[in-house]
Amino acid sequence: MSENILEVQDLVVRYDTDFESVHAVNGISFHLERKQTLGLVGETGAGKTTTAMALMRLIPSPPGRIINGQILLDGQDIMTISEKEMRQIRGRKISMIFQDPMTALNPVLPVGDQIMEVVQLHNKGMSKAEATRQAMRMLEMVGITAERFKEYPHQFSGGMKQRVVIAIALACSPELLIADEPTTALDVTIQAQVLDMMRKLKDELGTSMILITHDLGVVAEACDVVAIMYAGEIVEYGTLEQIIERKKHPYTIGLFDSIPDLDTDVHRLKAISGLMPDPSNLPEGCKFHPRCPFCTEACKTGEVPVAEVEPGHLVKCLQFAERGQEA
Amino acid sequence: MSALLEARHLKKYFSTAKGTLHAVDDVTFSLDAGKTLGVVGESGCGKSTLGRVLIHLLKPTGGQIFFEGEDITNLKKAELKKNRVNMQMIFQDPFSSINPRMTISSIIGEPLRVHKIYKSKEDYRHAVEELMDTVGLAKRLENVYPHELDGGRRQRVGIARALALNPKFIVCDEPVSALDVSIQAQVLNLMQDLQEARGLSYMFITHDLSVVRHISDEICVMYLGTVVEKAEAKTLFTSHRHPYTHALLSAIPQPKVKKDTQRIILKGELTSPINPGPGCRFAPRCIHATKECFERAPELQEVEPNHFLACHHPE
Repeated sequence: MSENILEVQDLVVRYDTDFESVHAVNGISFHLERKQTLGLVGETGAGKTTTAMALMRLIPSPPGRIINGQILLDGQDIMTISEKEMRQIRGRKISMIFQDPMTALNPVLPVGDQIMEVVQLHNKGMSKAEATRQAMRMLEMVGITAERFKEYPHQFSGGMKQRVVIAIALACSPELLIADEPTTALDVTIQAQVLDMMRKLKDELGTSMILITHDLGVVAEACDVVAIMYAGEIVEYGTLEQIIERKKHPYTIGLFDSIPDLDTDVHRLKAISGLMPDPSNLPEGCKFHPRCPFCTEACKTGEVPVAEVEPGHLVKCLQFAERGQEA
Repeated sequence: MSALLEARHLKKYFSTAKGTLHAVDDVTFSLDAGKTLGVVGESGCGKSTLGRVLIHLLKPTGGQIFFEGEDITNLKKAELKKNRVNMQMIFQDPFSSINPRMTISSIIGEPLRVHKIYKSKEDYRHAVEELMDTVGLAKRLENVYPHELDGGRRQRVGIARALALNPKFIVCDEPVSALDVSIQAQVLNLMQDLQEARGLSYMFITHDLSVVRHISDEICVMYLGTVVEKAEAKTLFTSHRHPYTHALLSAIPQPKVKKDTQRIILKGELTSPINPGPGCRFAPRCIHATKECFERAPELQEVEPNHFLACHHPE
């Protein structure tokens, strides 16, 4: 048993069409210790969901292709195994909660059957009665009474549906859970309920988690380690405290400044100027340079090295790379 | 100063197969010129319906709406059209609220054409150009179609269209919730600049509490069709007294390392707004609820100057 549940090395994912190639994920590396929660943060098009799909090996191909990279799940390289073996791993070892609970469930099947499906798939030979019992236990665990086992998704509210999706994802006690914007579609009070529940379940079952979100508040609430993504790259990586208290990358700083603070008054928000670059036509050099207030000539060409500004705190920005060399 | 817009006991009910749905129930407020009223609440609390009733996209079931002291509740079609010049709306979804088959300039110019503001084509074109410039859309985008634009720019088109007639009051229904945070900040800044330059009044409907605090002068918290608390933005965040407001505010995840705030996790979900009982609508989820709460609905009362509250057991 290795110490890290997940190790990702230099992952590159590209979507190729006849007209263009979309560089969705461009060489990201990270690792996740057991029982920890990694927050993957970024805006639309930063490559968060593509990264998650790559970890599940669910990138639609064509047009998607994992060009390069190694993904070690519990020490096992999942890039080289067959699709049949991967199917055994999905749901049992690694599982996913999808963003939109309204579309993640099958509208014509009772929710109980949908949970049972996972249980039966991964426990061949389990009797139907036993699978039913297990599914009911899962429902109770996410706070839905087992009496609603036979009800259909449309009879549940958004928050309840998300609980069902979580129950399905956790049905076989996976070691790694990927949650893709699990609370984005929910109201704040319901979001608080769901986050609270996920935290409790994670502690109980000892699951490791990757939480994908664009909400920095949710990150502060739930994560141990944070990776900030921009244009398919991890631009900053560190512990929650490092990212929130001692953020270094201009994009991370801009992202935090864009959110109105509840405790202090500012007349105008400090917006990041410009737009996310088009992933089919990424700028040369640092991907953030057209929007960066500290951009220099050197930023516009060449690869940006990753600098370790303090133990475990990685920043992909030239400002710090140079400082690192001087020291 | 007299209020620009005033709503008195405004009601909007919908009949459904299961009974009467009380979407907006007895809402009273006033809004001064140049100010922003934030309306917050969860999905289904009636905040969008309230906005729509105010600008006559829906007909109110009861109550009155005054605009600059004039009762506009039951206007005839022609009068209503005249009135719309002063009241406009920015919609939530920049993807579905603009016509995909029209060019950007014709979308922005549509209100000008409908109301026949300009006689000459020259003046009209000039006005559209000016509007695009105001909201920060480049002139080269004049003849492109909405699908060629990103969400932030599309929302700017929606804002330009709302500004075209130089209105006094704009209902903004979740104008930034479909946008990424970095773009959201750009659009919020633009809306503030426009307010200062033109003396606009906004009714800002949102579920994002940090946004509402930033942009509003006054905030009104809604729960299942009723206003439970209304106060100045700062007061509401620092000394709110309604248990629902408290729970709502404590539920906001903040991008900070561990703070010692006590989070209140509400049990259950919004109850049905169809045929509500006589008591307080929040009572089934409230930690302080007593028998009285289930029997008699609390009225909105002024507890301190400009701080209104509807609760039998304020905190």
